[in-house]
Amino acid sequence: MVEYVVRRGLYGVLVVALVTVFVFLTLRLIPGDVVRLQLADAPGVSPEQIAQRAAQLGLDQPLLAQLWRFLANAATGDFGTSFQSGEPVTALIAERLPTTLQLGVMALAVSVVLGVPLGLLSAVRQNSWLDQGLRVVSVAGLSIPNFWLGLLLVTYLALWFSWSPPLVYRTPAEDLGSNLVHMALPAIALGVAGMAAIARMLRSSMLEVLRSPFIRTVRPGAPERTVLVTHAVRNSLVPVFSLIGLQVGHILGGTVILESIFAIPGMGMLIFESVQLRDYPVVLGCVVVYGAVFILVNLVVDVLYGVIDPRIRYA
Amino acid sequence: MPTTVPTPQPVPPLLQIEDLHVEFDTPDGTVEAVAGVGFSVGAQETVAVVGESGSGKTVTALAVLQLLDGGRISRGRVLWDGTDLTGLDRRALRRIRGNEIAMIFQDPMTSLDPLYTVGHQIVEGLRLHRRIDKRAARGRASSCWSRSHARPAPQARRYPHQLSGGQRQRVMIAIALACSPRLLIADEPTTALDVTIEAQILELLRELQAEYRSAMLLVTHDMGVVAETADRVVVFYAGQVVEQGPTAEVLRDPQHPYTAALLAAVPSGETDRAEPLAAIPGVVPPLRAMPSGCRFHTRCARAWDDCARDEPPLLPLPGGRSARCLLHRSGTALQAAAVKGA
Ligand SMILES: Nc1ncnc2c1ncn2[C@@H]1O[C@H](COP(=O)(O)OP(=O)(O)OP(=O)(O)O)[C@@H](O)[C@H]1O
Ligand SMILES: [Mg+2]
Repeated sequence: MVEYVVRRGLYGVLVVALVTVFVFLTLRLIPGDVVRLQLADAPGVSPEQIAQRAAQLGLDQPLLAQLWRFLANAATGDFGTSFQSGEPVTALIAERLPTTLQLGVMALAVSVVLGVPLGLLSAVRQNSWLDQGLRVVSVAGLSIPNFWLGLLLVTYLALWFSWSPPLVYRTPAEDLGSNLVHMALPAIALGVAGMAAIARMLRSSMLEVLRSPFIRTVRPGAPERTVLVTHAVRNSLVPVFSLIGLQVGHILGGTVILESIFAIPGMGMLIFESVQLRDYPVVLGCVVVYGAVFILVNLVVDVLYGVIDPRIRYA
Repeated sequence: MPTTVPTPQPVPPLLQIEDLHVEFDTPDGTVEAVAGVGFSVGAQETVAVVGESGSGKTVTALAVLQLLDGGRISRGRVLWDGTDLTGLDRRALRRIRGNEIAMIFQDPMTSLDPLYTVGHQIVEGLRLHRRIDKRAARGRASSCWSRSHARPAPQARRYPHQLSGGQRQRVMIAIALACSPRLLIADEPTTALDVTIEAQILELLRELQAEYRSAMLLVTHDMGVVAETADRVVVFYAGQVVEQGPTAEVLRDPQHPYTAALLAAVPSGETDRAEPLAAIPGVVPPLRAMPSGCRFHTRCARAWDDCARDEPPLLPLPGGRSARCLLHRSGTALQAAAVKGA
């Protein structure tokens, strides 16, 4: 078990490193030059000044040397400083990470808290109008892009109820109410796809479990509630559980656009801005953190998997 | 003892199935999987149900417990101790199922919940029916447990996937017998197991049945098992009972050509190895295309013209036996008195 976790952890580090290299190289393929972006507005910039700035940022080195230096520093926990503000990348991330984690947890909560009961209900009331309705909602939820759903929510809430989310972001410490209201719409927009996926998968696994012979073993003598809760639900949640790990990936990806749409100063917005400004160290730092969070969550999911399902062996 | 009901037993039977019909709705229309089955099981009696695959044995067993999934009883009664189970509400059924009637299913691999230890599952069954606390339930479970020879204590903490098929079936037996039911329905409890384990499980069932004084309804394909285990045998064909009677007599002198053919298909010690086993020609007719008249006549070596036209009733024969065959119709007094429940 410990060995398993360690091995998975090492694989995780390797994956994050590979992703970093990939992102590092693709960033350089995007047209646009950070130095020109920074200095273009200044009148009468001489080529020497441009070269000097590039040297300051370390961009005059060969690409592979830059990559190597970034990886070597990153291994010690140093992601360099922002090209833009000069602040250490780690400080920028530390400031923004909690906001994004909060949004992610809220989105995941939307997925699970709505998806699980909906999936169970449509299985228990198979083919009822409720089931049919949920099917439509699920298909819609899975196919609508989250940013579009976010925009729809803002637009129609404003149109119909003349309500719009707060303009200025407040941290939970400053104003919890305002913070939650602000986060609610993006969390819903991010969580709906997960809700739909969980509901669909849970419905089919629940139906399968309800038809399995061991339910017949307990059903004869047990009250329906006991059968459903202690045996059927628990068994049908097993396959759904792994979906949660994948969902975290979707949510993390979605934060980039939704934080920008809703003006939430989290890591997603940081990535969005940094890509625009070609602030390479910040983008890479964020990618490493996103990758690490995703891999960590999936490791935790897999370990918990073994706790709920005794058939799982760690090998 | 004067009785108005012409039952073969002097005492009213524990379980009496009367003219049971079960239908399933399928995408291609309704099919009748069980078409007028009737037989009974007396207290402490062992009754074997035999018949080819698809003849409705499992459906009948499930219908007794009202556990049909997607099917319904369209006609007939299932009398348990004189009460018709088909009309009972869930709560009343629950008191009977598991407690007075227990069932063991065909496939021990999937009949246990994979997420709970087997010990937990035995205790759970007990606690649902007996208002006893956890400790008492554990005590009783562990005694059931050791009775079912599934080896004592440490095994109880195991999960189903850690046990072999035979051990799981022992667990199923322990669950079924924990409440000392008056009737145990065992639907091919050994088909998934190999021969040596099969013998052990059957032996165990017999032993425990004697100890708990339960009756047993044993569904099987195996004539050898029938011969060793059952007091009476009921032969199914295409959703109907074609013959029933005391095991020894039926096996020695079958009164229905189908039973005779089934017995001829069983390898016995005396059969010359070189001689091929007599397989029954043809296949069981599909539910949707039952032949008219006798359902077996298309495969029957002794069929004649009448068989395609007249549907034979289950005709009573001497010695508490009956058979559904026109061979027994020929102008006797028996003709009039079709056995009740046929
Ligand atoms: N849920 C169902 N829906 C439709 N038809 C069914 C259903 N369950 C059983 N049947 C049909 O009922 C018939 C009898 O099935 P049953 O399972 O009772 O056979 P069996 O005698 O137990 O056979 P086996 O020896 O293979 O277990 C079969 O033709 C089967 O196709
Ligand atoms: Mg069967």
